Amino acid sequence: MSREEVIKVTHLSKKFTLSSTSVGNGHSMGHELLALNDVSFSIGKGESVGIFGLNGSGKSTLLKVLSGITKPSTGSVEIQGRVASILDIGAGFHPELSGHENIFLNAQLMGFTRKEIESKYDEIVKFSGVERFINEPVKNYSNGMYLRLAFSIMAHLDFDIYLFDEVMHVGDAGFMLKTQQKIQALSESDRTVVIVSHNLNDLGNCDKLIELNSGSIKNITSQKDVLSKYIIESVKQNDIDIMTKEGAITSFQSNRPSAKVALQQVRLYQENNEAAFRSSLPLLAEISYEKLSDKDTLDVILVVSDSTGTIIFVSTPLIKGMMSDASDAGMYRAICELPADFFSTNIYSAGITFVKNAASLKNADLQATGAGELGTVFDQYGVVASYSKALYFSVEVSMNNFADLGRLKLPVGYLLPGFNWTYKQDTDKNNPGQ
Amino acid sequence: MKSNHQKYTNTPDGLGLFLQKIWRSRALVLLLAKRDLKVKYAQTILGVGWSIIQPLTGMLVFSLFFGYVLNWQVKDLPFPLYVLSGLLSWNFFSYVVNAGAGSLQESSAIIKKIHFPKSILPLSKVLVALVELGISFFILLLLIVYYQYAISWKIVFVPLALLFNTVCGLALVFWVAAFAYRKRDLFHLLPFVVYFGIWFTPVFFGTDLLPQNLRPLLLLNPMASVVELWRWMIFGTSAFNYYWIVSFVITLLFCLTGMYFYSRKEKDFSDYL
Repeated sequence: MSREEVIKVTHLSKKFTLSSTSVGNGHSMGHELLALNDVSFSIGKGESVGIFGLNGSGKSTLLKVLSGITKPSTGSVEIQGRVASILDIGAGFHPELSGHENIFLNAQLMGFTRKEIESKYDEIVKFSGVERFINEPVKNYSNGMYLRLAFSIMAHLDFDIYLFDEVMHVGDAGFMLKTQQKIQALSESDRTVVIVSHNLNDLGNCDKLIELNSGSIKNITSQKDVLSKYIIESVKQNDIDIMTKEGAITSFQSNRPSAKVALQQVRLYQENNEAAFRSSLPLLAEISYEKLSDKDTLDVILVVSDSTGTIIFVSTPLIKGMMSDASDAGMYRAICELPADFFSTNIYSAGITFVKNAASLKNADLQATGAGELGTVFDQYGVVASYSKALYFSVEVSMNNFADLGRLKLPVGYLLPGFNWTYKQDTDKNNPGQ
Repeated sequence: MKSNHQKYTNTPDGLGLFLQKIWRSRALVLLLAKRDLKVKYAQTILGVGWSIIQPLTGMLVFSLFFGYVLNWQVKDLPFPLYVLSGLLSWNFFSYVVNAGAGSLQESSAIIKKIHFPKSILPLSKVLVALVELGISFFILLLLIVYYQYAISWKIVFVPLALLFNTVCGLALVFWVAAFAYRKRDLFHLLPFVVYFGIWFTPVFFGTDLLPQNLRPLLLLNPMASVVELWRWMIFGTSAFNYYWIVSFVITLLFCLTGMYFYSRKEKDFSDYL
C-alpha cells in the first residue's frame, strides 16, 4: 500500500448464503449469491469517489465491506485512517438516552475517546440546533432533530475517510443544504469521501466514479458521461420507452381528463436528422390536440423534468405574450422549438398541461374588470387537462469541434446550454472592460 | 495516536487478537453497561428498587415453600441466609447468560451499521449483573446482621468467586453465540438452562438432602461449585473443597474454547443477524 493510498481493495469477493428458511423448517435451501465478484481498486488521500450502479449491483455491500461491518469472503481491503461510515444516520442512538449521552455513546462506538468528544461537544450541539433538548431522551425528538444531531456528530469528529450511503437526502431544505455544504467541504479538504448514490448531482461532483454491475466493476473513470449513460440504462431497465430519435406518441393518460380537450399526439423530430437526436440541432415538439367544445380558448404549457421528477424548465407561448384566440372545436397543433446546444445527456420527461382563457388574465382586462370582480377572473382562467410525463426523451450530446463530450470532463448538470459567449482582450490591465 | 491501518480479510481474528480487541475497547464496555443501567429503570417509579425486590422475592418464596412449608433444613445456617447467598450467585449467572446471549440480537441494528468488536456487548452485561449482585449482597449483609451472624475473613476471595461465576456464564454465552447465529435453536435452549438449572444447583437445598448416589452428579455442574464457593467465602462454615479448583480450570478452558470458536465466527455475524 503506497503512502498516498488510503483505501486499497484487492480481488475482493463477497458471497452471501441466502437461506430461505421458513419458521419451523430448519432446513435451509442454501443458494449462494455473489454480491461482489473480484473487485479491485484503490482510492488516494483526498479523493472523492462516487459509486453507482443499478439496484443489486453490490454498491451497499461494497460500502459495508469498506466500513468493516461485513468481512470479505475472499480478497482483502486495506484502510489507512479513521473511517466514518454513515450508512444510516443515528444508528448508534439509544432512544431512552438523552441527546448528550447519545453523542458520547455514538462517538465512542466509532472509536473516539471521551477527551476527543468533549473538545468537540459544544460545536456538535450548536450545529445540531437542539441545545434546548439536549438532556431529553432522543425518543422524544422529532425526526428532524434526531437527524440533525446525528449528522452533527459525524460532521464534527475528525475522520480521514467518510463513507456515505445515500443518507444526505433527509431532513428539511435547510438541513439538506447544510449537509450538502459539509460534504462538499469534506470533498475539497484532504479527507477522502466515498459516496454511494443514484443522484446525479452527488456523483457529478466526484473526482472518480466507480460503476458496479452485478458485483463487478464496469467502469472506473473520471469522465462524467458514464453517469448519463447509466441513467438512460437504468430507466430502460424499468420498461420505460425513451424516445431517442424522431417519433410520436399517441396514447396518453391524463391525471385530469377533460371534456374540453384531448391530447392526440406528441411528435419529436429534428430537421434533416432521422438518426438519434443530437444536441447540436434544435429539437421540435409538435403537440396535436383536439378541442372538444366551442367555448373558451386553450393554451399549452410544456413541463420538462429530469429522471427523478425534478422540474427542469417550463415553457409556454404565454411567456412571450402569445396566446391562441381560437374557440372553435376541432384539431389544433402547437409547435415548440427547443433550441440547439441546450440539452445535456440525461433522461427528460415532458408533460403537457392545457389552460383555458389565458386572455382573461391580460393586464388590460384585469384593469377593465376591476379588483372587485377578481372572482370572475379566477372562474375563467384555469387548468383544464394535464398529462404529466407524457413521454420520455434523451438527446446525444454532440458539440461542435469536440468529438467526445467526456474529454471535456465537465460537471454534469440538468442542461448544457450554449448561451452566447464572447472573448475579449483587454490591453489596459489596470482598467478592464474599457 | 495509534496507527489506523486496518486490513479486512476473511481470516478470522484468532483468540489473541480477539482478547486484544476487547482490551482496547474496555472503555466502551463500561459505557454500554452504564447505558444499560440507565435504560433499565427508565420510566419506572421504583427505579433501582426493582433490583432490591427481585432477589428479595426469590428469597422469600423459596424460604416460605422449602424452609417453612416443607421444613427443609441446612447445616449451620438459617434457611433464608442460605437461600439468598445461593440466589445472588445464581441470579448473577442467569443474568449474564440471558442478557449476554440476547445482547447480540438486541443490538443487531448497531452491529449492521457500525464496526466495533461485538464481543463487548455480552461483556458489558457482566458489569450490569455485577451491580445487581452488589445490591443483593447489601441485602444479604442486612440479613446477616439480623440473624447476628458474622462474615468470614475469607470474603477477601470475592474476586475469585466472581471470576468463576462470570466464566460459567460467559462460557455458555460464547459457545451458544458461536454456533447459534445461523440457526437460533440454541438461543431457545438458554432459558431452559437458567430455568431448570437452579434445580440442579444447591441454591435452596443442601447437598446433604440429596441421596448419596446422586451427589457426584453435582460435580458436573460448575455452578454447584460456584454457589458453594460463595458460601464458603461468606460464612466460612464448610471446608474448602479442592474440587472447586478442578471445576474452575475445566470451566475456564470451556470458556476459552468458546471464545475461540466465537472469534472465528464473529466476522460473519453482521451477515446473519
